[in-house]
Amino acid sequence: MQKSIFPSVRACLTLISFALLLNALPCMAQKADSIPEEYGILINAKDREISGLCVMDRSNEGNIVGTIVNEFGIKIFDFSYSHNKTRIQNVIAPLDRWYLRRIIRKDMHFILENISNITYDHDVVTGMRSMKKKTNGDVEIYNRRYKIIYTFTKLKTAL
Amino acid sequence: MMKRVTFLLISLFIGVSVMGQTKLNAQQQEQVLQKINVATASMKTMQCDFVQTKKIKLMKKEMVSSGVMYYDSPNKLRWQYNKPYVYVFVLNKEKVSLKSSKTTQTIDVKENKMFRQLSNIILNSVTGGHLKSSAEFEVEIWNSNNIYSALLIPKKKELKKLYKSIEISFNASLTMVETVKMVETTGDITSVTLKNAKVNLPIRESLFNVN
Repeated sequence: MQKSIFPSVRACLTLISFALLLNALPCMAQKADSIPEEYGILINAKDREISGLCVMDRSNEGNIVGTIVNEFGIKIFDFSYSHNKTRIQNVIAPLDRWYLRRIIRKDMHFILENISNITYDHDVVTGMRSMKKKTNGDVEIYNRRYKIIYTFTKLKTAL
Repeated sequence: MMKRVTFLLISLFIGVSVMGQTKLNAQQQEQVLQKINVATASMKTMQCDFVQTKKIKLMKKEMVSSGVMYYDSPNKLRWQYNKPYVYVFVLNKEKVSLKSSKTTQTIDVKENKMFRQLSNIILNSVTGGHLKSSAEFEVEIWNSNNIYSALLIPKKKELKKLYKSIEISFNASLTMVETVKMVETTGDITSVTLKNAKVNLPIRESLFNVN
């Protein structure tokens, strides 16, 4: 006896629904578990200035993924922080040199570890790097060795 | 049977996604490009609002910003973000001025390759000028229910590193760019939608001041 087509169609549709649900899960999880942070960023190095935006998601476990783009949306680099390790990837061509990547990674590590805890009355100093919260609310990070200043300004409006 | 039904459903999904999208042949493409060229040649000034949406692959999150744009043919452009940050890019012939809430910079485009490219991308995307520069892009024109869009595939190494493709969609009468969608090699997608466009109205010269 030939089997009906309908159970197969139903099974197939169930499979597709399940696949769609699985696809949507990461977004749902991210909304529930992470807190987005958005900053305007200004990097000053050797009399040259680069401005842009820094967007990051911090999970309840303290893991961070984020990106730095210029105002036009062109990516400067992506970063992630997990288990006390910072990674940077997709670095824009002019900055994609091993020695620059190393400086950026170490500076970002210092920034990501401290930016959410910095207070007006307590500067953070670790080796060649320092971080302070200015009276206008900006957070300034200084790399003394390479004389790089990063200024993070929290964006008020959600992106 | 299960396999056959799955195949049927997959075929159906694929069919739906490309249905109504037709790639024009060389002759049709030339005709459309000519229409666009005529329209852009007659555009002396343009002002509009824009909304920029960036979809970040790593974060599954969208960044949305908006502002206003002023263009005075052939090489004056003011691209101004108002929300959620203030940032003004002004191109006036060979000079570019960048103003944020913290800093102002003036750059000579001739001496800065990166800004030359950036200026070209913005200017040509807005005016449809990319369609003429066959040295930089491979151009395909697509038609979907009489709405035309140009798919640009970068040819040059430097642009190839940044973008997988740039898709420019036009209004029905082919007189105006409506959306520019830039697909980056990293998987991020930046879309810029132009709204409330006004063409050939006088624009204050001071908006293009770079000093």
